[in-house]
Amino acid sequence: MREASTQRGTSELRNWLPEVWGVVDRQRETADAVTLTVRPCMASHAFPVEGYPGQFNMLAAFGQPEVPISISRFGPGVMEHTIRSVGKATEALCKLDVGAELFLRGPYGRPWPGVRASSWEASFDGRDILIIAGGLGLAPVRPLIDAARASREHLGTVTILAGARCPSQHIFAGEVDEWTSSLTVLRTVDQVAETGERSARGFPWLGRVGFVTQLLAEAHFRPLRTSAYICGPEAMMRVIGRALVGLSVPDDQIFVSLERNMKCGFGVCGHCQFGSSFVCRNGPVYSFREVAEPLRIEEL
Amino acid sequence: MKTRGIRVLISEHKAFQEFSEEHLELISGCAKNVRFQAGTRIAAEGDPAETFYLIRRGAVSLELRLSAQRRRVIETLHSGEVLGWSWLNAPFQWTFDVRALEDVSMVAFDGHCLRKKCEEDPVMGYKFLKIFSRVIVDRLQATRLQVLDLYGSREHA
Repeated sequence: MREASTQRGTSELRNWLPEVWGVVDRQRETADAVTLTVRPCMASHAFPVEGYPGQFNMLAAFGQPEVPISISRFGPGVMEHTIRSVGKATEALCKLDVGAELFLRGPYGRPWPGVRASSWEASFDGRDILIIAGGLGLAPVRPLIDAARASREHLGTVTILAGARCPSQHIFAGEVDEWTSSLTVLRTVDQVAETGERSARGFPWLGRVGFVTQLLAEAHFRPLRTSAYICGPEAMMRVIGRALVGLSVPDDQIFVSLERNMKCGFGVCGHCQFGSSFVCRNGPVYSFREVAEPLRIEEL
Repeated sequence: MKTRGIRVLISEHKAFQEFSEEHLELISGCAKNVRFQAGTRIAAEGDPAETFYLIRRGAVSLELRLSAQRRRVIETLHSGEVLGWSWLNAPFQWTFDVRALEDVSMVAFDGHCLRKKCEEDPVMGYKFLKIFSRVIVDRLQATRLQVLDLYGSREHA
């Protein structure tokens, strides 16, 4: 795999230095996931608050190990992170409330192509955008959705396909109505426990039931003029990537966000090595052209 | 409003692109437009399956009755999708209940009529089998991924 461009960098010092950030807002997304909005505590914050969609920060509640968490939204002086409680470190982060503090360093990683600041680059004018997410994979692509809404008139069709395990596991459920005002949003769930099961907002689920790949048939896009962004379980990304290639979307216009065991965030510890690449530094965003074959290799 | 013939509707669907004009004429002879209101049970588990449908507008759910009052949605199907493949093989019975989730318009195909025509014209029969094997394979692959509960496993910290 060729060396890909690395994260936007200012001073090398930011690679090493955790800073104290404060929680200014907390939203419960699902029973096991929250979104924390954080801002730097120090008035003379060492580095400007900036990053790009697709990047991640290393977060740690005091006394707990760091974990890599994607940035799910950028705001003036703040960043949002959507965290699912799956272990001690993330459980501690999910318990933080407004006013609490945590350690943050970053952002790291190669971002999604096409978006800088909060809008799409001119080179993407007129292109159809396909955003496909499964489970918590909707978090890293939400900045793309924000940018698409801000740049709507410059883009072709913009379609979001989102899958979740069940209705109550769809994150950002409260924002979907806003998204549908200018974008096409199709959501599905793998299962409904009983007819009438309710979504995370408490409404009966009247939507689709089936795996997210089945939504592709309903999406309208011009394959040769499409850029696709996929984030979710790796098996899902492989299947959808291949399906899009089968539909003639060029594989260098299909982008995935990989997850490996990232620890340092800047390519020195080796935990996230993926072939000749380090996911934290050369990824987590890759084109499908770069990773389609390596992803087929067992235990890579 | 211009009324479009069944044959035009069928020919515009991607699944039927490979059929010749002659075959489309034969197929449309076994088809008709149907509509169901939201909430209607279109088919019940065990019913004779002599019809399959091409959904034009609306959505349906495939459901399994867990008990007298409880039912579970297995999958939903939407515009452009094919509903029903039990018409192809004995015992020609619906495996699940089918319910209209909203007002739905479909093209209904008489399975018995089509089976007879496919027996008489094996070329057309083979094309039908190719279409339905594609539908079945796609659904099977998606269902396998669905039951893996991929989102339930650890992801994104």
